[in-house]
Amino acid sequence: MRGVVGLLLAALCAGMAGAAGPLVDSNACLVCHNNEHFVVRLANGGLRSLFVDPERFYKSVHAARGCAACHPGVALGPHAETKAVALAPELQAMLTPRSGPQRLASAECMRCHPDQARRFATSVHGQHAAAGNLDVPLCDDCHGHHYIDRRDDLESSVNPENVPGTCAKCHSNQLVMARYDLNTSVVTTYEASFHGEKRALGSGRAAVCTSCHGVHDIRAPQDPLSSVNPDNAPATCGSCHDGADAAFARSFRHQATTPQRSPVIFWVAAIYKLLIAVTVGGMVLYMVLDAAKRQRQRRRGDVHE
Amino acid sequence: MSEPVYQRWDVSQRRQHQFLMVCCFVLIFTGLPLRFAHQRGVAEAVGVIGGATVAGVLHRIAAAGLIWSAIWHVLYLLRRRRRRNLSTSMVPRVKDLLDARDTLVWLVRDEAPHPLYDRYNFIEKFEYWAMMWGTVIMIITGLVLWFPVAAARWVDGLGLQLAKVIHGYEAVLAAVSILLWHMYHAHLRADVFPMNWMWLTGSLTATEMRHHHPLELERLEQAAAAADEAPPTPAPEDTEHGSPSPQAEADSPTGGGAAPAPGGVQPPPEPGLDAGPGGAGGQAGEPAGSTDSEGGHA
Repeated sequence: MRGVVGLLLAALCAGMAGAAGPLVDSNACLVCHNNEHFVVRLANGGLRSLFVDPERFYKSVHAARGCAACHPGVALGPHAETKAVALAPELQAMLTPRSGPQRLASAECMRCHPDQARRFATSVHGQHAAAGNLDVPLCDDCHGHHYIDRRDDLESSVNPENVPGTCAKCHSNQLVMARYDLNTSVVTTYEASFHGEKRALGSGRAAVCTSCHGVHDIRAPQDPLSSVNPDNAPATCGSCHDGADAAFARSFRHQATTPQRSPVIFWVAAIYKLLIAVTVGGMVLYMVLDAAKRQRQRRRGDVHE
Repeated sequence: MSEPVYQRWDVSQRRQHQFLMVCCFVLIFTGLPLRFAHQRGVAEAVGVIGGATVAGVLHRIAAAGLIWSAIWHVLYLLRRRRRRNLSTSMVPRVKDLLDARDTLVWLVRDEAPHPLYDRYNFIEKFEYWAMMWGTVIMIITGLVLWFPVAAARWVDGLGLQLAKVIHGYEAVLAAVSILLWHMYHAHLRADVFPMNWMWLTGSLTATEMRHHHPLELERLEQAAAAADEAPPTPAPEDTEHGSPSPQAEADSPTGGGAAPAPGGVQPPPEPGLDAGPGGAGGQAGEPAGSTDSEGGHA
């Protein structure tokens, strides 16, 4: 009897996980996981939410594939432990230092997206990941997991409108960047640039981080293969600006406007600020005095004609 | 009502002002949003006129207009020099410094006399030269930003960066000067409100002249008196500035139902003068005895 029930249960799960239509599958999971108070306590005492927002999940690019596409080990009830899929060694190397869900999740991404994974393995992020660095992002750090939207969806973290914010999660973080002596003003200087301003004004054409630095294959600027290496920058600029040369490429820097890093820009801006302050102050003062004087004259009936 | 009007700006000068005004307003309202793109509501405001791309196109069209107006003005000055009636009334003098000082004293002391201004006072000269300076800066830096790839060969990457910084700050300075200073002195001031009509009519009434430009008026009246006694000079069909010759004054009140000041009596049509610098414009203008205010008078 027991065996029969077990068999039925197993068949049900197998049906839900594999053969049945994806919506049925996901719906079955969401019976429990649509509860936003679904939280479990981890072995280390921390809490983890197991909530999945059905509305956002069904909008995501992977909705049609269903939960089991990325969670192949699921069974009803407390789930069997999921085993990571086997991957090519250069991809596996990036995941081995990681633990827990992120390792499993990224492995699932790489299983279906091997080309992107291999490009990522050559990037500065992938290289550091393989070296055991836990600060560099893996797939889900930029793309998310349950709610991966199409790139042209405005809610997508990798939509061009949101790319600077996604990069800023790490690259504007003083603590993380200090470990690698990296510039934390790359995003703010981008926003102050012509590209950043034009974007903010609603232009869909202006470059964002990935336009110049690449996507999965981002390399350090010192890397000879980097798209922003001084040797390659003219070609990178040239993909939008016909005929761009090295001098043109030098016009984009991520240096904050400080007297040390950009003295000429800093002092020109400082002089202009002073000039504007003095001019506006003087004009306003003159106008107030002038208006007051004419008011006094009028009150005395002494209109200067 | 029927007081004489003094024609001070010819048609070309008025057209230059009107054209420049349109260009400046378009440039300000399509350019400043880019500088303040990250402020709340700016992108939405630009969306009203069609978005960032449309704003960029309008900005370049108006920029071409500004460049043209600068060329137009230079050609206009050259033409007047060729005809030997180039005015020096805009050139700063020591008197402007003294006037500025006396005006500041007048502002704060009730009993202080107001200095007597000539054809252009120190405020107007300041605006004119600020406009000249600003236009040169904006055109140079604007062209660098308009054609960055070509410009980089001349000014390198740093030049492009500088051009953006200077263009942005100079724009704020120019916009503030126009929106605060020029609007105040040409519109809001109690003795001007609602508007100084010069840029449309080219003329001021005798009352306005006495109030705003007493020294110029005095000189014109002396010249008119002298002309009355002397044999008539060539017909003052000249409408380059400062032409209230005896005829002009005499004509004005009776000028065939002409509108009273400050609408002013329109000068006789000046074919071609408003056609811009290259135009056939100028045969109508400036006979030898042009009465441009400064010329030769002390």
